[in-house]
Amino acid sequence: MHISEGILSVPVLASGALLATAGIAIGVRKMPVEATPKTAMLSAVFFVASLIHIPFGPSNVHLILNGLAGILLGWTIFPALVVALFLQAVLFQFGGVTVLGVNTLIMSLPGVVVYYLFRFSCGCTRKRKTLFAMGIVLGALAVCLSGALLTVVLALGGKPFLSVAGAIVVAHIPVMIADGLVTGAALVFVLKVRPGLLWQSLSVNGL
Amino acid sequence: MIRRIAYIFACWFCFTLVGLSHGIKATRVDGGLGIVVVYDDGSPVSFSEAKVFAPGNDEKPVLTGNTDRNGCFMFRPDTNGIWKITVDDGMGHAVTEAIQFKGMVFVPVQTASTMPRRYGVITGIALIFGIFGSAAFLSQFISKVKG
Repeated sequence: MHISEGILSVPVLASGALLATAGIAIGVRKMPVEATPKTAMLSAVFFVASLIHIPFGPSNVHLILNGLAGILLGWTIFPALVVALFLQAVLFQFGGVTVLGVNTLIMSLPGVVVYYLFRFSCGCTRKRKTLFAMGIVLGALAVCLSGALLTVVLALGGKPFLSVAGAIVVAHIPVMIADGLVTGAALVFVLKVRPGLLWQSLSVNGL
Repeated sequence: MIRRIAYIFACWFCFTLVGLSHGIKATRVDGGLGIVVVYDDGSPVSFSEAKVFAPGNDEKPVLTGNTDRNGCFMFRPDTNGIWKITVDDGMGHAVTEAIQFKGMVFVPVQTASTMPRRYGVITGIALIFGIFGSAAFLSQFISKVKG
C-alpha cells in the first residue's frame, strides 16, 4: 500500500506532508518516555510486517498491522510509522522520501480512528472472545480505511476513482482477513501476558 | 441494361483490385528494448500500464501498452538516446527505468541498488530501536537539564 515516487502531484505531496507533520507533532506530545519501548517495538513490527508479501491476482499486497499499532499506540502511531516508513524507503525503496508524508498519513490516520473505536466499543473489557472479535473487526477496518484513503489520494493524483477503488478493495481483501486475525490474536496475547499494555495507551492518550 | 451491369461490374472489379493492393504483410525483426518488472518478492507486475518516453521528451509518451503476464514490456526504438519506460500497476506502485540505446547495444543507465533483505531487516530494526532509544534519552536529558 506504499505509493511510489513520481505518481502524485506536488500539492498532494505537500498537503500529505503537512497533515502527517501535524499528526507526528501530536503523537510526540502524547508519547511519554515510558511508552518509548512499546512504540519502538510496534514500529519494528510494522517495518517487518510490511515485508511479508501475499501474491494476489495480478498485484501483490502485504501485511500492514496499522490497526494493531493504532489500538496499542493511539496518536503515537504517527511517529512510530514515520520512522518505519522512512527506513523502508531508504533500505528497500518501498514508497519514497517525497511521498513519506502521504504514506504516513494513509497508514496512521486509520490507526487513530481504530484506536478511538476500540476505546469506545471495548472500554476496559477483559473478555478474551470480545477482544479477539474486536481485534478482527478493527484490524480489518484499519486496512479498509487505509485503502479508502489510498484511493482518494490516487484519485487526487489523477487516477480514475472507481476503477482504482475496486482494484484496491479486491486486492486487499486477503490482507484485511490476515490483519484482522493477527490483530485479534495479538490483543488476546497482550491481555494474557501484560494487560497493562492495553490500557496504558488509553490513559496516555487522555481517555 | 447489359452495358450498365457491365459498367457496375467493371467498377466493382477495379475497387476490389485497389482493395487488394492495400494488403498487409509482416516481417520478423530481432532485437528490441524492454524491461521486466517484478515486485520485491520476485512476483511479476503483470498486465500493468507501461509508457515509453522517447529521448528528450519526458512529457508525452510515444507508446503505451501493458506488461505481459511475466511483467515484461518490449518495444523497438527508432532513435539513439536515453529511453524511459514507466510501469504503473495502478495501485500506487510505479517504477521508471532509463535505458540508453546505441544502435543495438542497450546500456542500463540506472539500476536500483537494494540491500539484501535479511541485512535490511536487521539494520532497520536496529535503527528503529536506536532512534527511539536516542529520542527517549534526549527527552530525559532535556527534562533533567530543565529540572
